[in-house]
Amino acid sequence: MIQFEHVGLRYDVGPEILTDVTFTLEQGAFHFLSGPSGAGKTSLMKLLYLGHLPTRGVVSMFGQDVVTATREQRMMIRQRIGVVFQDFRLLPHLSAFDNVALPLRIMGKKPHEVRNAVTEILEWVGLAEHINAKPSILSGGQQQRIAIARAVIGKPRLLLADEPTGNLDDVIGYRIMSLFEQLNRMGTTIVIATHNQQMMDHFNHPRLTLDKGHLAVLPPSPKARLKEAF
Amino acid sequence: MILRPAKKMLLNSGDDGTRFIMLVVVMMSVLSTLAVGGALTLAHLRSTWVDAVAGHITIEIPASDGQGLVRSPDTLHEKATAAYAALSSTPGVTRVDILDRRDVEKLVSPWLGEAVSTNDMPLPVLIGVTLSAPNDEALTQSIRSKVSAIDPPSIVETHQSWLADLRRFSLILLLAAGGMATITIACCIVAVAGAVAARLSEHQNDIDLLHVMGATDAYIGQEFVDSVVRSVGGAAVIGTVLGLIFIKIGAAVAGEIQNAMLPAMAWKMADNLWFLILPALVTLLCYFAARFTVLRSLGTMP
Repeated sequence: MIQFEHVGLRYDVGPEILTDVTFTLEQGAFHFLSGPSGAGKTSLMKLLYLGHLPTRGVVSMFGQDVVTATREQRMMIRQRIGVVFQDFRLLPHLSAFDNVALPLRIMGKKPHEVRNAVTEILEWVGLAEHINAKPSILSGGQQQRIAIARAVIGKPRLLLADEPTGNLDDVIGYRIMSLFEQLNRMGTTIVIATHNQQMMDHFNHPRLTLDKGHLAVLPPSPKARLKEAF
Repeated sequence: MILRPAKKMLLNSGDDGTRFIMLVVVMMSVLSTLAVGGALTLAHLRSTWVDAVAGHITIEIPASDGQGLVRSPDTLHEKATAAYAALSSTPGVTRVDILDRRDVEKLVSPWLGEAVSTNDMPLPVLIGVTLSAPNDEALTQSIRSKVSAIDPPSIVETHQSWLADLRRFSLILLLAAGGMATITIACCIVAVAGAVAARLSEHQNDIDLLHVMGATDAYIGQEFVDSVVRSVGGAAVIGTVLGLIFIKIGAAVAGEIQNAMLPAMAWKMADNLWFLILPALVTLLCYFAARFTVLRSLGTMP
């Protein structure tokens, strides 16, 4: 479904941030993306949500080469991707409802469909009481949940999340991870960038590990598999 | 849980950028309205002047003969009567008036001053002729021949030379007023395009976000353009109304100045359509300027 072949990325004339990145994500895969700061995680995420195009190599998403795709085709690819940003990126002048409704409105859904879907998902993330609240009056955790609700409301085929539980307490964090797993079981491919070793150990998924722009694909940790076996 | 109505998605319409655009458009619309009002007044004035003069000829029977000798009042009277009779019987002449001496004195008094007595001064006889059709060359030529036969030194003035000057002068003023309106609208468009570009930078993160969500350029562009059209449309109407108020005040002040050459600011009823067209035109042009600016900027994104 998603294929990177010898992908390189550089900004302007600077050094290559990602070098010869090659991996494949099948439909329904769940991967953690980890690596030290500056390893290129954010750049790889940008390539995955088409925030940037590769400088070299081939990136194929949903059967389409993103470099040769037209702008309209790229927009259609983006509509199949949900992104949870580390800094949430909620629009401050819009209510929780309107922020979550954005992807559906972009897709051209009818107002009653938008209303029903947003109300349902805000109830699901436990923010039904804050439907008219602006992000500025919500806590970091609540904003994070709105960002997650916004990312998943369009039922994306690929969900990208950058430190999605970084601002959440453990209970909510694990609840959100369970939510991601639920989505994954329904067929959504998920990539979560995280530094949280405990979480990666707890949830048993393969890892994409970046170091100085080079990517390694690692299987689930043996410790986790051991835990799962017993 | 009560859901309040959904707001517009991207732009916060009360931000500084919107206020700036509105202020610029209001000011530019006031100036455009004044320029259009000035142009319409000039056009009206021009046609008033032309209509007043075009179908008229003035014949001057000079106070002196060709050798510079002053003619007696009887001679002048005799020549004037003969000319009157000849002109009255000419087809195409609808009216002939011999100005009496007091009227001629009034005409020359601005040059001589009130203190100078014209009682003993030799004054020409002036005959006003009204034609059924203005600018009838054949008729004018016939009148010249008849007058010349009666009194060779007489002058037939068709006003064409100064009418042409008047036309030229008023055309220059009209072009200047039209040019001012055009430049003002062009400034308005440039200002709106600049303000839109500034707002694009201001909302860059929001635009990136919409892009990531799969919004098309047309969708994002429409968000901006809708917002601009709402702001500009309202501001253009406000500016036009303010401009019309200034014109009304100007007309009231001008109406107090009694001057036959400068009638009060006025134009034809149908010309009022210009003041409906003006805000619509400003809004339409700003719409295209905003759309072009937004789409060009969005086109640089991956």
